[in-house]
Amino acid sequence: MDASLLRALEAVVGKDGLVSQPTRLVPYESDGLAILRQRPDLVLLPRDTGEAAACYRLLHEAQVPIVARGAGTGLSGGATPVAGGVVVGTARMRDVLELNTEDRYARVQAGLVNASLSRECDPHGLFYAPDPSSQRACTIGGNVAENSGGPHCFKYGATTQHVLGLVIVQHDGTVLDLSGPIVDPDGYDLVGLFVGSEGTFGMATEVTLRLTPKPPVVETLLAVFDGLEAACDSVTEMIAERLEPSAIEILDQLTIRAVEDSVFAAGYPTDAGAVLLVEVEGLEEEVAVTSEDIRAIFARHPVLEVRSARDPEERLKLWAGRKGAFGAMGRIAPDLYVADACVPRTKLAEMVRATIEIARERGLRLATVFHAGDGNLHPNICYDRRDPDEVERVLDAGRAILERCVDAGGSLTGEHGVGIEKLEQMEYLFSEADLAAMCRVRDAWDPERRMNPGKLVPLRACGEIRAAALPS
Amino acid sequence: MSDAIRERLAEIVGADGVSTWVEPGGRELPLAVPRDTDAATELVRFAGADRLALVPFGLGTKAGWCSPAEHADFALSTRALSGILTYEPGDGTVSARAGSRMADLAATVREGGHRLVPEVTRPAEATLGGVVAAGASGARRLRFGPARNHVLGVRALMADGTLAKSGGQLVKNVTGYDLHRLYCGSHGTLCVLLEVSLRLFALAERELAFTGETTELEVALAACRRLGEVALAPEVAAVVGRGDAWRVTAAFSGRAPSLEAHTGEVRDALGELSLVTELEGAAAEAAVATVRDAELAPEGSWPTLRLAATRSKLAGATELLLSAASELGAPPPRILTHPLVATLDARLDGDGADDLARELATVLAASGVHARWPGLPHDLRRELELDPPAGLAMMRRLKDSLDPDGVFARGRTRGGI
Repeated sequence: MDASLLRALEAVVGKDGLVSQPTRLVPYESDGLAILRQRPDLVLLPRDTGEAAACYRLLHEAQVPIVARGAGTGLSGGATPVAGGVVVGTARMRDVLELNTEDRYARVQAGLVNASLSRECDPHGLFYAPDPSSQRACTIGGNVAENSGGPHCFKYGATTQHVLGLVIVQHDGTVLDLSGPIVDPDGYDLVGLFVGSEGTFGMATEVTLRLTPKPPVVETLLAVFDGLEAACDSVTEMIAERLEPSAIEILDQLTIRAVEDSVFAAGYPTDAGAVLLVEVEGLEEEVAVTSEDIRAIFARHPVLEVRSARDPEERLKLWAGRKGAFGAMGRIAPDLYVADACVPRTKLAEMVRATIEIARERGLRLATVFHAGDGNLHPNICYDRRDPDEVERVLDAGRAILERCVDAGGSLTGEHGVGIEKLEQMEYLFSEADLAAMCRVRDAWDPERRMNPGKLVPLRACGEIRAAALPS
Repeated sequence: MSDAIRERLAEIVGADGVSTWVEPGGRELPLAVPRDTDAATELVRFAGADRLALVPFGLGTKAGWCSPAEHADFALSTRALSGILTYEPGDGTVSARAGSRMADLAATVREGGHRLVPEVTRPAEATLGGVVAAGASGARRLRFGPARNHVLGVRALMADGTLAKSGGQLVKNVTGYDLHRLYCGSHGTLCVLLEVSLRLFALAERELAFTGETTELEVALAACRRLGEVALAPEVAAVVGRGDAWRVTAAFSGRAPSLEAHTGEVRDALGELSLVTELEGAAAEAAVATVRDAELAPEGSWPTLRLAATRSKLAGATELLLSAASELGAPPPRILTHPLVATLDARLDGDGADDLARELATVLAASGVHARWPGLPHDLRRELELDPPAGLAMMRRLKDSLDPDGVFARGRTRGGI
């Protein structure tokens, strides 16, 4: 990288905010999709919007590609660097700028860790609802980029439903202040459009978030089944009966055993074929009758046991097992490919069977844990990246699973984003015209395509649109 | 020119599909009503090829929410493109053509045990596409959130005549950009919505509503604030009225034992009101419909002020509104407000209404409250809307990128988009 540019960037972020030594760049080579790696030329860690904007201006003048990064917990390669590019991280932007308990919102810097916000709000009887499994590490800015979900999004909705405003640094370093919070901003919903844009529109540096009152009563049920099918059927019936718990999660046998062998051990029975974790929240009477209805549904299926968390500690333990499941799977194999797809909730059992079959056909081990209430599947393939043949089979299985989900009326991703991982399948789900509309919107935000290039929308589709726009 | 346009429209949709639409503001436009997607596509391509500007709409129940277009050559109504495509009771989702009437959709999904949201005024006329294009969030927004949260996906007719989908019919999905959120509330300035998928909600086991009256707006607003603190979360907490006649409507739904156990707190919260009435079932729904239908549809004849803020700022803005009217000796404005959502609509009428609007525009701009003046002629609207909306430059870039030739008429929303 040009020495004068380096000096100018260091003048903005200081020595501590600039990472250029090759050994220190290694952790930035990938996000949670470790199968794909690329070392960036440089990592910048600005402390606020002003510094981030100054960095973006300098990089714009030098026409350097930029990848914005939160904690790097994403699973689709959204934060994988690009060759010759710079990573701009939010690790030094972790402040809560405003906590307004009267109007129930918080304004935070993008690098704030998700779980920290709920901790800050807890004394005021409020919490931040989206709770990705990685919430102890992942950042609000990353959640905004990916429109992250989590178990409780079944009731509360994904990140987009909780973002009231944003401050965005655009491709050329100009700052777009949409910090709100206003319930109906005038004109187009730029905030809604930006959420989930995976860093291709610019970088959110400040986020205004809706806070939710804590429910007075929470009951957590653990239902134990001898197989996945019965657990899935119970969920389908709950949805058909229009019951509204706050979370419905399923873990299969391999996952249960991995969790129970790990520090996340939750007390799940290791001989179970599957467990179903259901949480019901609300007023005491409402929780009581809804739990009763759910237990009645379990009773209509071959359930082995249903138990309710006795106290908040047991509840937290049950959830720690669920949220630690991905980490626990490190005990099964050195690497884990976390697939993420959504299907209509009437097709849960059918698609779970299909994913098992796809893995079996390719000689792969599958551990399944997923947000059943939303139809959001996470078939997790255990593998060893040192085995190139296995890597190839994993990628092939991933493609096959996604295509089966799309064929069943589903989509490519429920909460992890498209990133690099699902770029190829975008053309399987979307037509040329669908992608053309996306490319035009991307062009409005980043005409030079320097913001997280090669992610989310296939370049081929955008290239064709650009060619068509050129004078003949 | 208009005759030539009419002739071409008739060739595309048939003579019986062409008539005249009177825009809010009085301008007459040739109106084409396509009966299928091909005809709608042909209309958009015709506009593009002949450098014409068209105004897409449904049945026009929200047309007054926009200003009249700066220039328009014809209107395209999706009213005949109706019907449910898929309703999956087991999945809690519905997809329908844009011209489907909200009342018809609501009746169908109700049979499957679902509630259609948003619940908007004039549901027998309001079309699905029009409601989404207007971003209308309806009377129960406090419980269910804004319209954009319920739209799972759309199929849209773009300015170049291509059909493009965004999202799908899934309750959770982050594949690609959320263009359907961009289109929601864009008032037909970016595309013509042809199909929309919505998330549905369970019909509640029991529904209750309370109404009460007071001569003081402050008493009504205080009652709403107390409703925000009761254990039962209200679906509706609205105030409608003017001068010294104000009605509070509160609605709740949920599991029967919860409602049974906590209605006492609601009655306490409404204790300072007179004539407090408790309603159940269909009567409760009717009470909510009264709030829904109290919408102050902007018509262009009187300035209608639409405020959006935070709860705390809205309270101050409401005071400013009343004191300004009083100081100028203007008739007291008619108001519909959802204080816990933080929205307020006010109709200014009578002699001096325009002067009051000008005065209010100035004081509200200084108070940090977001004020809009929908439905007004351009000149007056420009005078009243003092600050450009945040992000106007980006909005223009989006418009230019998606509709470079201005096929969808410009100037209907703030900032001339």
